[in-house]
Amino acid sequence: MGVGNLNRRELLKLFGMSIGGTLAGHAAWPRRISAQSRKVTPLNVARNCIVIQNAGAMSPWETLDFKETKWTAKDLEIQKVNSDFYISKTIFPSYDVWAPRASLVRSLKGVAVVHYPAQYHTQAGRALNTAIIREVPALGSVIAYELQSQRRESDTFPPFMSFDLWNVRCPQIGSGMLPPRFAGLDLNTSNVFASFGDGNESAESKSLLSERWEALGRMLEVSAVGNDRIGPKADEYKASYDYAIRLLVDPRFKKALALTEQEKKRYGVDKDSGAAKFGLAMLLARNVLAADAGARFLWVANAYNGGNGVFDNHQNIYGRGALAPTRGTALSIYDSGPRFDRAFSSLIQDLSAMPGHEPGKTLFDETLIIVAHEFGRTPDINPHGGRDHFVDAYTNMFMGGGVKPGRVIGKTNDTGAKLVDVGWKYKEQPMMDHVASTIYSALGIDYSKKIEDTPSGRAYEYQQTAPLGGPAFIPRTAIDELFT
Amino acid sequence: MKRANLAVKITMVFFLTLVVTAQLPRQDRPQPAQPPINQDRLEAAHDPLFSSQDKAKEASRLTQAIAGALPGAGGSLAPIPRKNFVDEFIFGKMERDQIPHALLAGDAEFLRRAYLDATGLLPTPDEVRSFLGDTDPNKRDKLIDSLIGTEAFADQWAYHYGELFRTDDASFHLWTKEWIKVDRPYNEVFYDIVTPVTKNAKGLPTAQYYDPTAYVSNRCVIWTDADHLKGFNRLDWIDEVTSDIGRVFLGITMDCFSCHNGAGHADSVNLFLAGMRRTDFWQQAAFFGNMRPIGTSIDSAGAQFQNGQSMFDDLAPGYNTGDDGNYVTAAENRFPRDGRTYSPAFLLTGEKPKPGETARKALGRILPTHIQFARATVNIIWQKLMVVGLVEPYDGFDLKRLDPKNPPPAPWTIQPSNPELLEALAEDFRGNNFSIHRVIKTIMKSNAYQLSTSFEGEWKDSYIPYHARRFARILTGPEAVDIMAQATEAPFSVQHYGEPRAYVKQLTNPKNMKSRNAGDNNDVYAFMQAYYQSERALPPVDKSMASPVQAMMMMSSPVVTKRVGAEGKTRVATLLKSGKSDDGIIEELFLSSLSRLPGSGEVEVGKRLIAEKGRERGVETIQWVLLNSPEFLLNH
Repeated sequence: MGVGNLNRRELLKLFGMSIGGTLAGHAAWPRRISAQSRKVTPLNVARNCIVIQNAGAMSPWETLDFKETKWTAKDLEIQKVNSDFYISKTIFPSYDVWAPRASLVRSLKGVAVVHYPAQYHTQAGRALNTAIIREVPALGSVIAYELQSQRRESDTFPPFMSFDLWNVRCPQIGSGMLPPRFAGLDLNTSNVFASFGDGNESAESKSLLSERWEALGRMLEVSAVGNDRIGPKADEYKASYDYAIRLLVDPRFKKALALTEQEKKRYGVDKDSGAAKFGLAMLLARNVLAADAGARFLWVANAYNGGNGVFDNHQNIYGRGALAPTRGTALSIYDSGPRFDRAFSSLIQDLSAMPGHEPGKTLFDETLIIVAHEFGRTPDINPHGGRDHFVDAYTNMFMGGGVKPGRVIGKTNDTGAKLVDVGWKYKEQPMMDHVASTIYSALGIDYSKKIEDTPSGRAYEYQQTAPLGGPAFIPRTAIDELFT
Repeated sequence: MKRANLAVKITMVFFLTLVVTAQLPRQDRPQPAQPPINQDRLEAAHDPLFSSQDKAKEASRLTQAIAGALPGAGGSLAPIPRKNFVDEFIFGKMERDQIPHALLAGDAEFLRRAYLDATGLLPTPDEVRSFLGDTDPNKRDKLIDSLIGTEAFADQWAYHYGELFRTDDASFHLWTKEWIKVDRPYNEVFYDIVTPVTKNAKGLPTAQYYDPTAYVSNRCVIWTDADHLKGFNRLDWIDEVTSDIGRVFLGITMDCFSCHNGAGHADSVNLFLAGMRRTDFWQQAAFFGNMRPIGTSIDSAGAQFQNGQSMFDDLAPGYNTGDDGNYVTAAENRFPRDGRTYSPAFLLTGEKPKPGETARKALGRILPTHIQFARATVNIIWQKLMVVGLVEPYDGFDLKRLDPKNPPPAPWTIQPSNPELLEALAEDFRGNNFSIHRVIKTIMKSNAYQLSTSFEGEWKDSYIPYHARRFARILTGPEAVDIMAQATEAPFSVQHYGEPRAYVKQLTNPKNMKSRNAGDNNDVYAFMQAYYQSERALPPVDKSMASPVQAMMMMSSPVVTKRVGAEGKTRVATLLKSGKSDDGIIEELFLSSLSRLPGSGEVEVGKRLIAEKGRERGVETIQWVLLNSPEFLLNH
């Protein structure tokens, strides 16, 4: 009997565990989580969230907060999306698919000026603090933890999945103090198909895993796995295997990995020479969402060849021909922009056509989509023809999942050197911490919560209000202006 | 009377004024505008900040979970021979407190453990057979002596120290491996790490120690040159370096009081830290006050900054928190400093540099002479070998809770699980030329190290501090992939600095597996990440927890599946061609994967699998099963 035919009870029996055995060791911990404010009512407008991390920090001045200065290239074919949003058709040929649906926050303030801690801030939703680094979970892990009560018996995909997060300067930071099952499953697009199949395997190879699984059970029975001396932790250890096998044999997982050549081409995979192909990551994210098998928070890292990221244009941002970086970790905007655009526009198109969970809604309607950066780039071009890091104001893009299109929050001056309008109801600039709250709120999670029984004893607030570095105090809030 | 009263009042006002004035900040230099520290921002005083209990309980639970699957013994009160002072302290305490303990590990259990701990690799089947058949009563000590100081030993421990130091550079790794292999005195190693002076950091390995701290400072030194120091926040970077030195070499977390005084925050966490002030930290940081890193200049042709080619010298004027010259002065990843200049004074004794002595050289001289340097060092080694440190975590020492003869006030308790042993190990270390080899051998040769994982009867959490059994641990990332490659006789072949490397531990940094020219390498790196392999930009996470991702990788990753196959020159392929019987093949697979002979029941299951599936598929299945057994995936 192949393991795919076994129901959950039979699977557990195979491993000699009690019917109730799950990842029991940590299921009930942490215990002391409390809301800090009665004033927070999460919006609960999105079922899912995808964060697309444009690693290296895409320059806003050529893209989402376009500025015409003496350095601006003349061939960008600027188009008007609305009175506050102008965009280059050269850089984003399919902008019309997604730009009209977008809202922008242009007044984000960064803390760290270098990639590692800045990317950490993006992933954790808070600034890096080495004193408590061990226990701080990724934003996705907190979400996975919060959404576990909504998991169905049929859900096999982890609630938090990422794609090519291995390839960025700050890769997965893990679940911290939360149990490891909330750490997120990161799929490496350069080997995921070799590891887990591409949907084209023969029936024989599909049954091989089942065979081996059954053999493992037989050998472990003889090696006294079922012995009464083994304590409750055994359930957790072996439940890791149980969790894994259910995913590996789930037809929905196989289907998510089955990509056609046609759709790969549409997502620009054929034109992508990176170690990690952004188009593949976006296709997998689409399929994972469409499978409706439990994955609700997805993180797609757009990194290309690793290092500091594809958009880290310290030189030759407008490089072409001999000046175009082709073998390094960054691409000029003439290459990185269209690469992003091909995959992103295809994703938006597809999500808009796929039915959502609720009747009458599409996956786009139900999914908050964020294009995130770790900081901005300097308004002045440097002597190498590039832009350096800039934290005073940078831009993230939002759409789907209840976001009202056309909102532009925050305004910079003509060159981008100065912020002239914060754009929301607070005098402090919004930070990635508020982007985290926005995600929590959209998914129906009260971002005023805090975990009190942390290993260190220092309370973990879902949204930190006293961040290390940066302003002394930041408001506890989501960026509600995106939804109103 | 009235006049006298008036005189008294005037005098009081006068003195009061003097007293108040004395409390005011110095006015002889301009104070930078700094926002007041908002007390709301400082979170409530912590509960035990550095709890040893969670990690120890985790190790205990894991061990208890798998112990039944392992060959071994059970709990006993029977006396165990005491081979050295480690045993005196460990078993003496158990005897005094009537704590039952596991029996000694059998030869197979000991052998696998010793190889993994010393070298990160498994014994070969012939080595297993030879050891099991050896009747020399001293064979265990001889084995340990033969493993310490080998190339594989140096690779394994250079990996441990690489994680600790957060090495990201090849030359620093090779320098580390060299001193580990030759057992260079560790105080000299420390001296070299804190005193690099160079025109090009790429040419001096110890200068590379400072690279990771640059990554977690908010700015990066490479964006500076002699005329453009505004790209860098030198004082923030010095603070990161100081915190890191404290973590690695003193076992003290200084991050907390680098940002605020300990009082009011650490009072319920750590007695020592509760008494520390930011000014103490700044005086410690001032040992680096003259240190000046300068990145490579941009040349006139517009060449890019060269990563890592910084200069280091001692020409900066000092730790002046009000004005650091052309560097960015204001704190950017800590609360604002007080604007004063601080001179170096060692945190634990107040000792200052001698007249004319360079501050960094003074630190190199002073710090290792303090017993805490030795305690922190031996504790890290103990933790690597015994899974749970005498103090946990390794950077959570509370210096006011170490001495049983001078105990802290109730309800505080003594912190180390065996304070006398900690002191003895520390004294032995510094009394014997700060020899790392000696510490490792002393611990491994003790019977405390050689207890079994299996424990008969009821195991209680209260037994944990006694090390009454061996604790199991999840393998590190490199261990997991290396022993898999070794067990299946399918090592890697990674070209690294001109030579093919068979094992990940032979690389200067596990990140070297993460490559654009993928082949096997990206798969291997993804595998290691499932075992919490760090990127080394931050201190090690040090997790020992099973996860579903590990299970998925073990069951399905091509790193495993192609190695269990009968193609090429894998162990399975070789065995199938060898002419061995089914029994012989099964025995060889158990020896190579689990470092023990199979039980009769296991042989039967193996033979049935071969009969059912055919020889090739059956043997492949057995190999896969063994790699996916908890016995393989744990160091026990």
